[in-house]
Amino acid sequence: MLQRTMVSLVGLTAMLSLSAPAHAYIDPATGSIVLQAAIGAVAGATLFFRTSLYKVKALFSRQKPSGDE
Amino acid sequence: MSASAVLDPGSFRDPDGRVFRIGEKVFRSVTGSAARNFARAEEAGVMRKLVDRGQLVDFTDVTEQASKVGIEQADILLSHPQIPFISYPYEWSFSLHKAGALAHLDLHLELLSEDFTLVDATAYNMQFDGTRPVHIDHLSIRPYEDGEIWAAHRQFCMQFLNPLLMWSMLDLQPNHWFRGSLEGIAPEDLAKLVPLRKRLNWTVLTHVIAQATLQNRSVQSTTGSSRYREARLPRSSFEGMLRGLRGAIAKMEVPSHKTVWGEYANNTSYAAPEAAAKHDLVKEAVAAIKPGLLYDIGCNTGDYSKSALEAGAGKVIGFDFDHGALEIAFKRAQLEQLDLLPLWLDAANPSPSQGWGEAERMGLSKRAKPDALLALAFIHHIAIGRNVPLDMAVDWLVSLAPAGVIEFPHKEDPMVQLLLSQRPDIFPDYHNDTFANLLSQRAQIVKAVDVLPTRTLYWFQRN
Repeated sequence: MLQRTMVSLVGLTAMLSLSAPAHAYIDPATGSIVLQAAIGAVAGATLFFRTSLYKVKALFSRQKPSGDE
Repeated sequence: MSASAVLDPGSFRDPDGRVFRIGEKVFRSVTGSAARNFARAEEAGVMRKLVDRGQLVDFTDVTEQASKVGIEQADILLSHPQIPFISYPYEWSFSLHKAGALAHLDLHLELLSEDFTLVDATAYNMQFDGTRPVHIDHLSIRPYEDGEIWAAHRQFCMQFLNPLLMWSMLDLQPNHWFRGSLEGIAPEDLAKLVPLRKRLNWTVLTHVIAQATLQNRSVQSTTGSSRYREARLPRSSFEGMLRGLRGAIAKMEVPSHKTVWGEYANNTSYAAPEAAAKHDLVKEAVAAIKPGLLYDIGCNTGDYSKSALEAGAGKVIGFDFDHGALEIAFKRAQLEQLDLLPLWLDAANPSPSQGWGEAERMGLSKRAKPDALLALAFIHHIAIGRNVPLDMAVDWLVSLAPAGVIEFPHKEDPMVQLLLSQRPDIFPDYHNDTFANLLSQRAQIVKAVDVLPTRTLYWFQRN
C-alpha cells in the first residue's frame, strides 16, 4: 500500500501544482477525463495483478474458493 | 396525452425517456436511441436478469396499451411498480449511502461483464426497499462501446464517493451540504478540506485531489478539452477503476460511529420501565389501523418501528435526527430483515420541494401519504427544543397521517426538565391538558394511556 502510494505520489506531483478558481464555460468533466487517462493504466494493472494473484492462490489452495462465479 | 397522465417533475433530463403517473400507476415512455438501447438490453436478457436479482426495479412492456393510457409518443411504454417512498441522498445515513454506492458499482460491473454500461451515476436513481438498494432507471443502461471513457465518473464522485469521504475521512455529515447542492459535492470543494496527511490515500489523491487540480487547470486553459474528447479508457482500466473504488468504499467507516455499533445489543433490550406499556399501545393501535405505510417520527434505533411491523404495518419509514441511532436502526433492519427504512430528518426543517421548478425533488409532505404515524418521545424536542408552539407541533403531526400514536412527555418529565435546565421556561402552554385539548380539536382521541406518571400516550384518529 505504501509503495503504491509513493509511486502514485511521484506520478501525480506534476498535477498538484497551482490552480485557480473556475469561471470559464467548459465541459465540466474535463478533469475527470484527464484523470482517467492518467490513472486508468494503474487501475488496470492493479486489477490484472489482483486477478493473477487470485489465480496463483487458487492453484495452490486445495479447495475451490467459494463465493465467486 | 390524457389529462390523467401526470409527468413526474423529476423526470426531464433524458429527452428520450419520461416518467408519468396515472393514479397509483407509474409509466415510462421511451423513444429514439433510448428505445434502441433498451431493446438491445432486453434482447440480451440483461434487464430481466437484473430485475430477478433485485438490482433493478421491475418493468412490464405495455407498449400496446400506449394509446389506451394516453401516452402515444412512445416507441416503448413500460409500467413499473410504485416505489412506496422515494428518498433522496441528503436524507440517507452513512450506511444507506454506502450501500447505495456499492450497489451502483456492483450493477455497473455486472453490466460491463455483459457488454453493457451505465450512462450516469446519479444517486437519485438509487432507491431503497427497506434497506435494500435498487436502481430505478432502466434508461441508464446502454451497450458498452469498447474503449469508451467512464463518462459518469465525476458524477459518481460528487454523489457517492465525496459524501462518503466527508463522513469517513473528516467525520462530517454531508447531508446539509448535499441538500443545498443537489448535484453533490465537487472534488474542487472537497479538496480544500482534506488535510495534507490524508491526501496520501490513493483514492483521495486520485479521485479528489488530482481530479480537482486537473479540473481547475482545464477551466483555466483556453484550449479546453477538445484534445481529450478522443480519450480512450481500455476496458481493463475501466473495470479496474470500478473495482478499486468498490474496494475503497467497502472499507469505509465513520470514526464517531464505531462506539455506536457496539451499543447495538444493549439498545435492543426493552430496558426502560415504560417501554412495555408503550409497545403494547403501539401494537394495539397498529393492529386496529392496519397501515400499509407508517412513519415513525423520531424512530431512534427502531424499537417501536419493529413493534409496528410485528403488529401488521406493511412498511415503516423511520426518521431521526441522530445519525448514531440511525446506524443502529439500519443494522437492525438488515439483520432482522425488517421492512424499515431509517432516514435522517430535522423535523424543524424537513426536506423542501426543490430543484428545477421547485418540484424536481419533492418535499417531505408531498412524497407519500402514510396511513399512520408514531411520534414517541418526540414532540418535546420541537415544542421546547426548537420553540415550535405546541398547537403548530400538533398541527404538523396530525397533518402527516390520519391516525397514529403520539407520546406527550409532561413538563415534569426528567427529559423535558433536561431541555429546560439551560434556559428560562417560556412555555406556559406546554402541559398535558393543553396537549389533549389541542389534539381533540383536530382528531378523535381513541385511547390515552399514562405509561409513566409523567408520560402519556395518545392514540388519535382523524375524522
